[in-house]
Amino acid sequence: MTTVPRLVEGAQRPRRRKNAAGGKRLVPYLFIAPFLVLFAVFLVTPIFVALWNSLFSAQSLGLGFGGVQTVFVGLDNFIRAFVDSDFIASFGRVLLYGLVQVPVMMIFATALAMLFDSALVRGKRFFQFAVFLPYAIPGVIAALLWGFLYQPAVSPLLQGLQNLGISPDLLAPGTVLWSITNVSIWSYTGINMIILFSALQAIPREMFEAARLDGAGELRIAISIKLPMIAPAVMLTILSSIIGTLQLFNEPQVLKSVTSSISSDYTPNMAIYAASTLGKDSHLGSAMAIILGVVTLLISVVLLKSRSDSKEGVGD
Amino acid sequence: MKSKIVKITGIAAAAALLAGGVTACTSGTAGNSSDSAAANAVTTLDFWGWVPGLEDLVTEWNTNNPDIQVTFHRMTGDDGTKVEAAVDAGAGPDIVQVSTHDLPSYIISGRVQDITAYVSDTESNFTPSSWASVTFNDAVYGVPQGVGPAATMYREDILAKYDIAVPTTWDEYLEAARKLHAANPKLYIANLSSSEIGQWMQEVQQAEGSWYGIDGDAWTVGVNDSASQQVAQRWQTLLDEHLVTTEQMWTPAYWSLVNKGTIATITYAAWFPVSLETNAPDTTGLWRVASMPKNTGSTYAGDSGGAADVVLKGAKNPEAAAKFISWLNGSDDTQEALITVGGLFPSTNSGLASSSLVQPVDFFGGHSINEVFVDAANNTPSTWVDGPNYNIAKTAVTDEFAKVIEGTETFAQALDNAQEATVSDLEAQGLSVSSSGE
Amino acid sequence: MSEARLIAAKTEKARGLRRNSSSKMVDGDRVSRGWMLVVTIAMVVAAVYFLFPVVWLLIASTKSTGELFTTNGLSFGEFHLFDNLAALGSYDGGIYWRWVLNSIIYSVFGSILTTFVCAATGYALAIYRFRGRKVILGLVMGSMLIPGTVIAQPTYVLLVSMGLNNTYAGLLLPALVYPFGVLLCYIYGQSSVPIELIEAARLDGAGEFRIFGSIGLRLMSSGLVTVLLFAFLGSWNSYMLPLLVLTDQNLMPLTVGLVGWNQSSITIPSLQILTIVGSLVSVVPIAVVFVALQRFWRSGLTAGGIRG
Repeated sequence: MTTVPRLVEGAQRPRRRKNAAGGKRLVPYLFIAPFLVLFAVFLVTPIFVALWNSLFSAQSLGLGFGGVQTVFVGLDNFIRAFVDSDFIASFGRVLLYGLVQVPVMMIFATALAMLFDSALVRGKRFFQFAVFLPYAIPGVIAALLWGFLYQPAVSPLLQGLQNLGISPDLLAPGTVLWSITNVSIWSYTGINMIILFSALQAIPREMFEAARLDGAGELRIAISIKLPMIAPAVMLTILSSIIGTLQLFNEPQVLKSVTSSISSDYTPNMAIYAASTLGKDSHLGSAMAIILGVVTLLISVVLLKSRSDSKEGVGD
Repeated sequence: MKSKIVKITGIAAAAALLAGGVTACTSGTAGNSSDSAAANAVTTLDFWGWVPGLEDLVTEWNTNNPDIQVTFHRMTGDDGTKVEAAVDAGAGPDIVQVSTHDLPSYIISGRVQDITAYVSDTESNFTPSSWASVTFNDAVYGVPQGVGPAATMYREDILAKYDIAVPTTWDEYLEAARKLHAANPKLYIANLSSSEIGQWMQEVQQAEGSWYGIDGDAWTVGVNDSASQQVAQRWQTLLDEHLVTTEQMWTPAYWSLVNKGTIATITYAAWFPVSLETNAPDTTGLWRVASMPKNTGSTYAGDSGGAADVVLKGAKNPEAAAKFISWLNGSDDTQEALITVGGLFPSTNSGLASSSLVQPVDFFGGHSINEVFVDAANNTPSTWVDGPNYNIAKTAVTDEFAKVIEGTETFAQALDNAQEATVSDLEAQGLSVSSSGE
Repeated sequence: MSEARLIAAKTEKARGLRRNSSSKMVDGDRVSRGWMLVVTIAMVVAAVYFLFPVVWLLIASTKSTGELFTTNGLSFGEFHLFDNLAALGSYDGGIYWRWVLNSIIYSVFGSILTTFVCAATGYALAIYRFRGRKVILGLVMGSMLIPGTVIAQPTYVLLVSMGLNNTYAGLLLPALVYPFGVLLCYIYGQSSVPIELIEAARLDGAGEFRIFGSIGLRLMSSGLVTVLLFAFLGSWNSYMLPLLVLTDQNLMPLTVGLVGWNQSSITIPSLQILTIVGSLVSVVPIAVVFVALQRFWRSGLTAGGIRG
């Protein structure tokens, strides 16, 4: 490890990273080997197993006491999933949820991160702690907590409102989706705030100094310098929030035990769980899970694409 | 999700559990491994169950049977839903406790073993209806572990205050509901929880209906059979006339109704009274138990379902496993512990005759409430048959009933939809479905 | 190593600047008192929203099971917190503390190992150009989009066939695959490890692994703290995989244990209050970790934050 690899000026794009040359070609592979092995074993293999699984079905004859045969059915499971109107409806539901949850949470998180980055907030340490704390509470427990707060019989919140003459039903069919939305906003604003805050902190302060000298106000600096600078971080958090949206499971699953307004296939992930665990049909469950995966992929690609198109003008 | 597993969990023993004396499951077999083990090959059995106090019974068995050692794992929460995955992966236990409603799906998927040869001689220990619940196509797939006969718990003080007689028929029940609500609009005869399928099934069974049946070489599906329609009509009326509350059962909101005395009756299985006692301690002495209201011209009561211990596919020594579960559930030695610590309502003749079953209960004004439940157990029709996709049917019914409560469809429509979902799932599994049902 | 010194000096200068600018902002006339008030009120409202359920949890933890359903949610009943804590610690032979210990084991070991794997991978992707690099980056990005439900069941079957079900390793190993962490480390590596510095180290005769250990890891450290925190919380919050993989109560993490209690509380009502107290206690270690790591975001070490 003593010879110094001479850096070859590659004919590639004019970036500052260069080839590790000569006998060092193996080095990068050694760095990524542990990840690749684990990745292959615990991610790639299970995906192929799931794909394979989705093409089969457990079939019995007559009363079924003669045993089960696993037969190849091609895309039958996918067709079954597509004609299941409740499964399709569950996508519409999470999309509606995402249309509200993601923007509200992102605006909330960005605003908080900006404020924490400014000099306007006293007691930053405490307030950051307060905003972040919900993320430290496991999703299942968070849903449990809010479940209590949504029930008039035990909720101090609703009892207080009742004294004012308002008695909203937060668990009714029309409202329960927004009650779930609230739980996720409560849980995940903190982590997104931290990501954006750390991105803001990474911006060299000199940039603001120059702007200030030019007479720009704090708000102006926030919108025209800070926001574009953290755009990639915002994009990343939006993307992972959307993925989270499509995979919504814990919150509704837990709240289901306190309200009948949440059906067993309320979200795509719940439908998958219901099919494979309650319906005991892991083949159908795999097919549904793959459909969910493909939808997630499509939405993400569209999003990334629109981002890279609009990026042209902004510069990097 | 929580299904029977948690609910049947003998609530009686909650206090005993807390009081201590329950050893951690892993420490159960310590000290037995040394002596005779070396001579004979020792069979070890892995057993998952949820009845309180099983730890002590397993220890007792292990002491007396050095050649068959049992390790017990207590199931909580979602454990019930992972048994199938464990069996399929080859990591399942040897013995598991299941709800009898789930048994057919285990059989059809080949996850349980036929143990007829090892247990058939113990049949006479068990009540005929409980034995029937583990027998399919003349083969026995498990040993019954408790049943759930139903009766009606009622607030004696409330009924007395409004001069309402304890209803003995469902017609009288409807009249009582109207009279109570008219006398005090804040009071309701009962709560209707769309998710509490056991309360539904016990009345369907009482009306001699069944979700499934066998017709030659095909299943029949009766989720919307005439008995179910009869029950549907009853609750549709109660719902339409706003004579019932509609909170989801087991939630704080539900217990609040109970504690505040908003609802006057609860009709449910023999394991429910202890739950009532622990969740509504302030109402001590106010409750009584009566037979559930009868259908016209019938003396039948209902049952919301029982449990069984089954030997799973991966078990290497099914004979030893069968021997253990026969002892655990059928032996005269274990009945008292199962009843008092486990909180089970017995599925054996000796258990039904046990004096520990009919102790007076202070919470119910010092009455021996189990006499009513014994009576119900003896008057349960044997028409109910469990089928291969109970979970699908249950999920469909509860999802549809939620819409009924919401007011967007009627019980009759809900039953038709659930029927269709159940039939199409059976067909998707390749099973034959006969439409000649009801 | 003169370059390193230069960079250190630069950082020092930047820090000085920052200190100056912030103090100037606070004391100067740029910040109006009016805005400060508005922001403070907004912050208080936000804090009330985020802390409300936790405060409720705290108050509920002091109640008995009966009081939970009969007293006002925000008023104290009789003070049962210590009784509840004692009950929590003794229920089922003190299984709760076992779960706490397990959660800590999974989260601490898991997150350290995960961060190391992610750091090595992200560093290599950022620093080296090698065949397959783009493919791997694409795989990493793509795999972030895979719903956990797709692979839960097959992963379980796989673990059983490897004999890892019901073991600590069975839960730790799959958690090491953390594509989001790799992506973050890749970004940190790109933005905070100057290639000039690496070249200088090579000229000084340092080996590639030593460079990674002494320069790469150090320069990426603030970013790695973020990955560490994410990985820690990811393990701390994980529910589905441990539920599937573990059957032994003694190996379970808090989430599975507490949810199990909550579901059993239907029939064992005393578990209701234990679930609540247990949830409260489970928040404490996380709060400690957060406060301990908060320094890293605040002390100007955030050079490795996500940046364009």
